[in-house]
Amino acid sequence: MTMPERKLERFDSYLTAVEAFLDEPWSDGLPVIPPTPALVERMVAAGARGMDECLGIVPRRDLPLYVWQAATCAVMAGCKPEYFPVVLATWDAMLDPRFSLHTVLSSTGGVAIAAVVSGPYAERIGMRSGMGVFGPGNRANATIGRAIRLGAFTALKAVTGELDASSFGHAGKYTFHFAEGDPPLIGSTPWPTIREQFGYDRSATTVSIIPAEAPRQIMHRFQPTAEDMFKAIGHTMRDPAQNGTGTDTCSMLVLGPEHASIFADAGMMPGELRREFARRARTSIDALAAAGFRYDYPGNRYNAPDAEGNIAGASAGHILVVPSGGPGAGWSAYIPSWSWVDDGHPITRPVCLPGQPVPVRDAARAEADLDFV
Amino acid sequence: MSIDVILPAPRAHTAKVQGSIRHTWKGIPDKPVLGLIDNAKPRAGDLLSALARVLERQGVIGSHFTVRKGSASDPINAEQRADLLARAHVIVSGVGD
Repeated sequence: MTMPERKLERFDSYLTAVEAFLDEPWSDGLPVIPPTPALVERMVAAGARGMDECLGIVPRRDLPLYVWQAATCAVMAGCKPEYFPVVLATWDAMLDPRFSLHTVLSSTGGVAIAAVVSGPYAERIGMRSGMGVFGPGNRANATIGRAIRLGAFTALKAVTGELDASSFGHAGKYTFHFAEGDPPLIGSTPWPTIREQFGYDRSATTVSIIPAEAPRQIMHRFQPTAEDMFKAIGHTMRDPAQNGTGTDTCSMLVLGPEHASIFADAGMMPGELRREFARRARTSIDALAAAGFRYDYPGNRYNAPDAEGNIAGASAGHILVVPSGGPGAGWSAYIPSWSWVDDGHPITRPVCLPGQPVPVRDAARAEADLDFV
Repeated sequence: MSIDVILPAPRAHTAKVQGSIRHTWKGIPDKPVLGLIDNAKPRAGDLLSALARVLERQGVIGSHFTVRKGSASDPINAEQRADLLARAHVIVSGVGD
């Protein structure tokens, strides 16, 4: 496949260039930083890849993405060069064929790329995991996710109304990157970090992504027990209006510090939570009907009911428990996939830093059923 | 002061020219053949068939045929494209859900 031409254009002034980018489908509607060659070269140098390296090809769309395009969009988004390794790791994950990027970028479901970054590099570049974790106000969170969306707009032609057919879209389509927070403690033992659950060293940094509907905030501030929290979160997870409910979907469950502590105080590790959340996310023909959804409608993709009438949703391996968000009255957030995993499988990739060895996953140390790889 | 900038993609007018489908235009006869692209979304085939029956009943078209995509996410394949271009005077596509 031929690399797209890296074309230079001269503008009368900085502001003229900014306006020109807003006039073309090269922006998310907000002004961008004009990507001069010097800024793009500086961005590329901060990653572990060469300028003309192809990161991958979007199947069906047959469009390649090159490092120079990713770097150009990172400059446009306002990224500092040190953010670029996270941008590249996100593209690595998105370009895995199982993520089905063409579908994700074009669906009427209005899909965002939700990405959680786990590891010391997230802290080093100042990514936010605490209060206001989904924004606004943190440059790293805001611009890394924005770089991805600008790349989708430009290199991958996911322009609204053309190859992006979102009926609504949502705010996460501007940017949806965030960092894993401090794990809660069971006694003096912390939960394993996300990267450790996947079999990476604690010193590594990883990016995990799902194709996401908008997050649902979950409030419970009435002294809930762990069982109360399972009920509250399960109720949210099996909302019939979510496209993935009752199907083999995936999700992130972002637990705020109060809610995470309730589960940790009950002695529960993330793996146990995933398995119980999968059980609570099940629905039924009656529950669907009560919400106005017909199980037997032609073309639906609901799973078949089991002997007890339960219709499974996401398996435990496709639910990622993420401690993040800030303290408050008691808030968490559920991020559902917009579809089933065949149309967008959850993926994790390591962040690779220049001059350092590529972090290696040890499957033997991973939680065996966690299928985000 | 002027500024040199890397363009992230071809300008929109350039891209549209490059991306357009070129084919030989056929005159539309009195009773044209309608090609339908069922995009594999739920009930798309039912809706398109109903549309074709109405058009046939009203005498707007002479006949119709349908190609069905493997998945809503996939484009039509080369054979389907060739079939549509060879046989159809008018094509209806883009039906979902």
